Amino acid sequence: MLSTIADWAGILSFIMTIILFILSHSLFKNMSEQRKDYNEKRIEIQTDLISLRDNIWCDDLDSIEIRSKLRQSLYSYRNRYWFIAFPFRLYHIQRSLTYIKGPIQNKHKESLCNHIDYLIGNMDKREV
Amino acid sequence: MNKQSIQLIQTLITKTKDDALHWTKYDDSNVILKPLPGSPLNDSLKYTGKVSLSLLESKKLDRSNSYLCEYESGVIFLLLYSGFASSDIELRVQTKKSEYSKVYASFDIDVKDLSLIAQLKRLYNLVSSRKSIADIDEFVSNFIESE
Repeated sequence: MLSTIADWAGILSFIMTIILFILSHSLFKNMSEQRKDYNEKRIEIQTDLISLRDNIWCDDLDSIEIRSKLRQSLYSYRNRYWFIAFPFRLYHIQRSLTYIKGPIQNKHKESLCNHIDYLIGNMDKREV
Repeated sequence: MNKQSIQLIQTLITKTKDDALHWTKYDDSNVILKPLPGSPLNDSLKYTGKVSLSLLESKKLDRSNSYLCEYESGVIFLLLYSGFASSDIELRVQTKKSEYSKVYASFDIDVKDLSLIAQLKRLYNLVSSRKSIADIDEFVSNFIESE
């Protein structure tokens, strides 16, 4: 009886090992693809954020178009690279999104720019 | 060339914010965009501009979202080229007497100059927002004058 249970446990653990191996292989592949895509699009996203930050901060623009472009850029960044993004990046993205749900209040402008500055600075580094 | 391009963009941003420049949509104007210099092998044309890759790829000029402003004897264009997955912006200048127009900044040519591309995008966002505000101002002025 005990030996039968041990046999079944051994077979199940072998099957689990195969499944986990396949899953980790596909996760690794997904990570590599995201990394490659990130390195190709990094400059484009970074310049989008720099330009929109300057529009809000220096040009005093706070139209629905500017907020929409910024939201689009942040959502795109978060959804495309969530797997390789360090948690701090996701935190800064989320905080930025909360500030641009509607017209940006003056007291929140500096905080918003702080979060975007972090993301901009972070993108100076290529993912290896 | 990049230093001059950045200075040009900075000046355009400042003058646009001060309302010293009046931008109109390319669709709404009669100005004709002059072609770029033909052959990059011709030494006399070497510094007059480079052929933008946007013209060679399948990206199409989006006239309804491109802008121009006339200043003294010249015209400055902010052209938007739309492709399947992305868009490019190009800053081009021509004068009344010139045979060609010249590209001063473009995503394709200046792809590695972060600061230049960011400022070009900033200028485009500013101009496209400005246009919608100017429309409203004009509407209000006409409304007040009509009474």
